[in-house]
Amino acid sequence: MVKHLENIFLTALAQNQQKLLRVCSVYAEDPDDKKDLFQEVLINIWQSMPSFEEKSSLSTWMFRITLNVCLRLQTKQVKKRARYFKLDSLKIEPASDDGTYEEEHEQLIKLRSCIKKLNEADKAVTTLYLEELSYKEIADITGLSENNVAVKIKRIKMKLLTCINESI
Amino acid sequence: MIEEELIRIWQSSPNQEQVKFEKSRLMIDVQSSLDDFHRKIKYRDLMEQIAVAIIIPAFAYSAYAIPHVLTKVASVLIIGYAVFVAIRLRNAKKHKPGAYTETYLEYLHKTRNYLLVQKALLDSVLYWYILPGMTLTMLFTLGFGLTDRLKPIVKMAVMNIILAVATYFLNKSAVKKEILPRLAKVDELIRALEKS
Repeated sequence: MVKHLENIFLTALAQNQQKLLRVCSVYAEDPDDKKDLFQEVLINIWQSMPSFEEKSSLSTWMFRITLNVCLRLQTKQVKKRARYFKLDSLKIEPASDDGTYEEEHEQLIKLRSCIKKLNEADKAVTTLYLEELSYKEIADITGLSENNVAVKIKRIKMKLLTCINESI
Repeated sequence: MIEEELIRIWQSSPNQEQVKFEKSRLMIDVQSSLDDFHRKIKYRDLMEQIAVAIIIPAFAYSAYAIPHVLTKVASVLIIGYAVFVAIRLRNAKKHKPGAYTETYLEYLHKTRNYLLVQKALLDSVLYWYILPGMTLTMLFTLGFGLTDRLKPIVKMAVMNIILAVATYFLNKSAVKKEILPRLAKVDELIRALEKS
């Protein structure tokens, strides 16, 4: 049973880890915070695995946990939980050093910084939207209505475009 | 900048960041297993405390009410034995590591020590729990006298032995199934963390 859960967990994590990591990135102040948050996310997902009821897809469910953890355990609180974070239990490191990365990375930093300026609810909707989740999935995860999600996304897009254009 | 561009930039990081989480997974696994172990120990200790809470007044009354000297002595000794068992379990519990007060590595070393204490407790259960308990129960029974009571006393002795053997093997099995695998996991994690 545990082995079966572990296989599901590992497969789902392999498919979604980068997406979840990107979500964590907007709630973290620096790479260490991101690592800590992501680790907390992994712990919570693994511990909740037995209660997954397949009412939604596993990835949607993982996004929901990720957002809940990120919203509840913002960086300062996570740091208090020193037990998990004193050692390099989780490594997040660049996989390549080519030039295109540098250029795209700059744009990514700008985008992240603009997202970080949004309020918590908008941040959540934005990250899910940028991960190309449907309005219905976003509504399922955030508890908003689909209409509300659509309205929010329209407004957020405008805000983001303005913010990015200003910083270029 | 159009929205597809936003999505493209947002998703441009996947191949740039590599997540290595094996050790983290091991930590989750160990923690989950330890939480389960602590729950079991808590339940066992609670059952023993309830037993002690019942034994003390019951045998205090029997020491007062039953006229046979040997039974009175056995009752008092059983009360002492119950208190001794409660203290023994409490002392073992003192080694339980506190939550979130130290580094994870220190926590693991303390957890390892706690598991070893629990293992020693169960390994020696024959000498501090089974044999004294069995002897005192027999003493209590014999206190009523042997005349015309040989059959029930033999029955009682057989039941006592069966119970003792079952308790002994249950504890041996607990060491094998509950403690040794967890010790191995904690050791593995300590090695992994100390290597990094």
